[in-house]
Amino acid sequence: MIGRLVDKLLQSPPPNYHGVMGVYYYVDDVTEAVKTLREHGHNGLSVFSPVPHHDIERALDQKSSLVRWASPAVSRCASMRGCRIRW
Amino acid sequence: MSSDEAKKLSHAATADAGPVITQKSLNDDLLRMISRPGRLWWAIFILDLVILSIGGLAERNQIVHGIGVAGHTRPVMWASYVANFVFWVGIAHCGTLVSAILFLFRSHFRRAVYRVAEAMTVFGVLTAGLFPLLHTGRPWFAYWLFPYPNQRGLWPNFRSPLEWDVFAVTTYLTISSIFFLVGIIPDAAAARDRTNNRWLKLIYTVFSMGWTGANNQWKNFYGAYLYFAAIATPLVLSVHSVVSWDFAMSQVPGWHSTIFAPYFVAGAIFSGVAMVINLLIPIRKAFKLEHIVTVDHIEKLSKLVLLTSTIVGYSYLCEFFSAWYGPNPIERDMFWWRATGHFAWAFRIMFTCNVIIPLSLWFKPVRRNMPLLFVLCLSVNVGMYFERFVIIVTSLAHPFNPSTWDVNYRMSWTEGAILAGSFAWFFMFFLIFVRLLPAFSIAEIKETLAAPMRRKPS
Repeated sequence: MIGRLVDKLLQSPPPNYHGVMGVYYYVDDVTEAVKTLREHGHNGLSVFSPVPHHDIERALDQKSSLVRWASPAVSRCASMRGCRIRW
Repeated sequence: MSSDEAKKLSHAATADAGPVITQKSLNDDLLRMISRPGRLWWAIFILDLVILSIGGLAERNQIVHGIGVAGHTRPVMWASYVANFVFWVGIAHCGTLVSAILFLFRSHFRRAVYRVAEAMTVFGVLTAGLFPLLHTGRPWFAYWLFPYPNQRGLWPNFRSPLEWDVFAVTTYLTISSIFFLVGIIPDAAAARDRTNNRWLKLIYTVFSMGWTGANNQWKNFYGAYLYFAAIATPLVLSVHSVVSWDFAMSQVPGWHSTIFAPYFVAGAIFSGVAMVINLLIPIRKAFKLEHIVTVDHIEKLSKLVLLTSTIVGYSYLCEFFSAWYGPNPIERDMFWWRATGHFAWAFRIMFTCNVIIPLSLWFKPVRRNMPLLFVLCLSVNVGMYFERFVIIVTSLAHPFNPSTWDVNYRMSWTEGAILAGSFAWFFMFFLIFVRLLPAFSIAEIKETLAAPMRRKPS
């Protein structure tokens, strides 16, 4: 029964992809493909890679993560709330 | 893959001659560690559990018969348990230094060693946290340490540094655990995608938190990692400073010193880095990872040991100089007794292991000789244990009132068994970790490989 539960937990959701997937070996081939697609108006692209690469970030025109701003903001709110409870 | 491509992917940081590292070989080598454990692992693990059981029996004996079985008698009422606590917090210190501070300074050699250091940090804090509980003699009242609202309106004494310790150590445990778990996400995903065992797959699925390696995940991952590194950095300095104030805030001669905070922090990094080397040398040998964790990596860590050893040695001399030059005759007498009195043997072990032996690290052949370095780092940890023993026991045995100068403390078998049990507790976690989770950061080591480029890199 526990085994069945584990299997159930591990079941992936049914695939729900729309679009085309390309597999590239070279990083510069990926960046070239991303740039070309974006020039033709295809946005919402995702690149899956074993390590991050700055060329991919540049090709996708990625901005820096919001996490680094959201986390201090949330922690500041939490500490202010904590101070308010205390005093 | 052609030979040219294999060469392109060769490890940029590898100075030693060794097999060429590719992205695939890296996955193979590092995920092989978490395959089915062999006989040697089981033998070590069972031995570890036996020692842990002996420690557990000693603790049971202490609970049944009272804290008196630990051999604590006036005036030495803090002895090995507090020394163990400080020792393990010190061991736990290095992980955050290696993972957070060296990350912020973009020190690339950390990539091959930081996961082991982080795991050591988490397990070290878990071990250190045992001792305040054991030392009370009634660990089931441990929750009294925390300021929780209660009907009698009782609160712990917030002006006590022991209470500050509760907050410092729990904060450190929280942040270092989060830091460890965040860093492991991409590697857990690599393990998840490879394993066929459904139980392990479930564990890795939980640890990998739905990781796919998409560009936006990498962006948020490094955003979070940078943020945690920034939070964890002040903790490196604060935690052991607070631990040092357990002593420095008191009036006891030999403890009441402003140098304690930097002295303890340097000592903690010293023992922590030595412990990382002690863990890395057997791991790289046992799993044949000499081409990934290279002699260069270990040598850089040994330079850190040398640096912190000189700081610790300077602190020892400063303490003696302050006692000699200062106006307090009781302080002067205590330091004289520390170096020449009943516990002079412990002082000599401490000074030899922490100051004199590490001087050999000035020589490159010593830094690059792995068996010798292993023994040297082991001696550093012995020395650092004795440092805490010397600070705690000699100061308490020689306080202001000469009528209490009675050397009646000697380590009991209960204390010895619990000390051995603490090592077994630490290594139990570590042995499980090495076999369950990737002990080296696959993703970060891959970043040191040259990316596959058809044309010249931009």
